[in-house]
Amino acid sequence: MKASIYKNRLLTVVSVLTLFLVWTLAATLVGKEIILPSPVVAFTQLFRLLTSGGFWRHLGATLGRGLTGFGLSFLAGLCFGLLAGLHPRFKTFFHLWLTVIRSTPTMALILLALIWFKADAVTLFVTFLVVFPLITQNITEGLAQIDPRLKEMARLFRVGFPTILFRMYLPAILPYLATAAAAGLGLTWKVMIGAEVLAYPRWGIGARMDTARTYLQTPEVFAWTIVVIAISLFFDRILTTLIRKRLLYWE
Amino acid sequence: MHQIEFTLSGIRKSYGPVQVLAGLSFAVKTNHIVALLGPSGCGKTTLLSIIAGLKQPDQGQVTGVENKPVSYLFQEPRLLDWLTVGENLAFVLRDHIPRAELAKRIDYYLEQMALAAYRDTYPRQLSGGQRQRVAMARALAYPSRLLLMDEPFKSLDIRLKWSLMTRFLQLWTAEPRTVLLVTHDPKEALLLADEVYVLSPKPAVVRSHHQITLPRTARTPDALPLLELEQQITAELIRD
Repeated sequence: MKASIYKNRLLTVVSVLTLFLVWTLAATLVGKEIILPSPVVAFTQLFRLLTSGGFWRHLGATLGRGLTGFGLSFLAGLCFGLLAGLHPRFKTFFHLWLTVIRSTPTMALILLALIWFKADAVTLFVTFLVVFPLITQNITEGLAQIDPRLKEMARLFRVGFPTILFRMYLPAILPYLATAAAAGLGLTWKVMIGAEVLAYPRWGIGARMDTARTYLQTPEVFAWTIVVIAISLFFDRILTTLIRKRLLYWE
Repeated sequence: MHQIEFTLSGIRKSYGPVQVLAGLSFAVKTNHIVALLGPSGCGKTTLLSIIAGLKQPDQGQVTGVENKPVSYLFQEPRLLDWLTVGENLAFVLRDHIPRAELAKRIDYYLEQMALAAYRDTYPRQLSGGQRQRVAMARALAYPSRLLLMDEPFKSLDIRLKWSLMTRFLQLWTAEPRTVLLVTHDPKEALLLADEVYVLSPKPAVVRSHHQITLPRTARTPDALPLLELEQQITAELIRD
């Protein structure tokens, strides 16, 4: 057991080292920083960003927008998912709407939002439309998985709806909720950066990336990309730990 | 002497072209345990669903259960895995019992079913027999005059079955209520019931009716009068 954990860790280290090695080799072969900066250049640039004045403000703006957009999508998705899961008619009615939203290319949503709203609203609107259907679908699916015999039991014992909602439905769909949150939050950062690149808000990582691209400062594009990956990994790790520790406590 | 708790008159039910219940009529007396004995798939569960109001009969009616709370013990425990044993009881009780009495009532019935030590345990950590005991504690703790039992001892081995039936009878003697027990096992019916209705295979009609007058204290698995009745009932059950 211990030996296998050690082997796995070793493998991870080797994997990371290989990645950097390939990256360095490729950068050396290309030989132009403007096309592909080496890891050393990219991380040096990242360090420069971290110590520069605007970094935390840009990071804060993107994080704030992302979490707000995700929070709104999650709450709306939860309500909508519960309604759809508990009332098949509601589900049938909105099925087409959700399918259309899901099938619309993210770029199309961003372009339309640019026509309709200001920069800050664009990013929120797009994140909402991308993440909300995902959450809704997961919750509807989770509700469908509840054993109908348990529902029948609750009905026979005439359990009131609030009790059923808080003690049966919500705990039963918790694993689905967690999966939806993890997938939704991961998607949020991808969509958010895309929306920021095009909407160009005053503060925001996406806008900085686009500025750096315009001035052919490729190392800075890389540095910001590393920041976004770090954000994504950070939240993913938090959610995974939460899921493992808290959600399946009864197993 | 006994009042009537509820009456079935001419209950008929079909699923598509298949007739399941072909006109069942009988009355269940208050505080009696009545067993419905029938071969598997003869429509016993359908009948319970009709009494509980989950299904509508095609013809006939049930009188005496309208809007009354009904307690239910199923073939399988049907517990919520994410709630502890105590919380599982609270789940069905909290909307029917004053909050102040809830904990006391739960503790009392768990103790009666020898489950006091498991109040904070999750169902997955219990054995199959213990889980069914929790389900029985839940059914008995639920404030109702009528208890419907759908083969609750079916999946238990003979020792567990015997200990659970004994415990059930102790509790029922202390607080009698009207019980309709559905089973395919004549022994189970004869050990527990005041009256036994034997049903025919599908479409089900009442084939025979037996009063069991032997006091429950004298009902051991080898009691001679019960063995004779068991033979008679078994013969009726296997007849085409």
